[in-house]
Amino acid sequence: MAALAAIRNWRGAVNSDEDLIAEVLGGRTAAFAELTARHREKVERLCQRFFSDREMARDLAQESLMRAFTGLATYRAEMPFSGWLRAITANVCYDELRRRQRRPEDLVGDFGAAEQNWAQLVNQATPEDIVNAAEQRREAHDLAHRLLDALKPDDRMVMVLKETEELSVNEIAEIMGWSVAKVKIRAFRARQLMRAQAEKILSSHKGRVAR
Amino acid sequence: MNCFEARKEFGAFWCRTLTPEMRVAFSAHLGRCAKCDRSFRTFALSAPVLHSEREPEPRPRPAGTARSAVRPLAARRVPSQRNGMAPWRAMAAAAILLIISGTAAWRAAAPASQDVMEAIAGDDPAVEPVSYTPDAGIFSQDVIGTDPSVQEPLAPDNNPVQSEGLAG
Repeated sequence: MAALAAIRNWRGAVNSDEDLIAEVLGGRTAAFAELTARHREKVERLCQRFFSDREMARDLAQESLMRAFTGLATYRAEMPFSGWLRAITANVCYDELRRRQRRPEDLVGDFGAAEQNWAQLVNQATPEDIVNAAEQRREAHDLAHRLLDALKPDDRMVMVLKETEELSVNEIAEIMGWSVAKVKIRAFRARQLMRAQAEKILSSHKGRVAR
Repeated sequence: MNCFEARKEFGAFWCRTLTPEMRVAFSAHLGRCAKCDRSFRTFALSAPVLHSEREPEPRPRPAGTARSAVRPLAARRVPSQRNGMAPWRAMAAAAILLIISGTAAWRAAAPASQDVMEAIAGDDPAVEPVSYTPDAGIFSQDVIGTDPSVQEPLAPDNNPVQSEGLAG
């Protein structure tokens, strides 16, 4: 019984996100360090979906956490803290994507030898081998990022939030402050463009193999 | 497994969350359906970013290109070098970020703000934690007193105009 009570006490001692937020707002700002420790990995991972440069992704994660800290007073408990933080991170990444906006046609073009080998492997290997190889090959990520770079910022936001975070169209619309119709159109366009670009890459490497 | 079912499972196959039987059925379907096979290959080009939980370690940077480990937060991204942004815009953005961050930290309890900044910076050795803890010393009388450019107001006894006025 004593052990059970101890476990209960221990479990009670683990503060929820909302408890920690209340502590921060109550003046114990050090509690934000625990919130950061809990959510940092997810925030960094989301940033990495948008930016292949790891240092850049870390900077943006840091900026997102800073914005969360400075705007904590505006947090309302109706939505989980993780969702609120994800919305902040998505918006930070969106701002950065728009700031760095480049012409899409510049992006899917000349590949390095490693990326060409990867495209060739995707063209020829069995599905099982493709999955196994992708885990170890950095160029698989590089090429995927280049493919995503071909999308406009709005399309890319929808693609990443839908595919990686598995958010619904309504949730994405709420995070981005867009209409549901806009999200649907963006998702459709993004999928079409990604498929077209991927086809282009695969076809060009199919041709090379045939020669 | 038919085409519709197979296409629904691209993500699950990539993440290895399919049962062994489903996995075999999936591979078998792709083996006999050229359209689904092609779709999976186009999917596989973006899947490493969209459907993988973690990325492989980045390639080591060539020697001499490592960035300085000691840099303030605002100086870490240099937009003007990345995409041709005008330097004044980068500096303005950095200044705004510093002001916002400084104001926020000022409002927070001073001793704790260092902890928060360190926590946000994480354990990345390349990130120098930035503290915006207000330094009250710069506003103190001591500093003003030692600044030769700042003249102390004259005491009434030493001020001839004031002394005369009071005497009269």
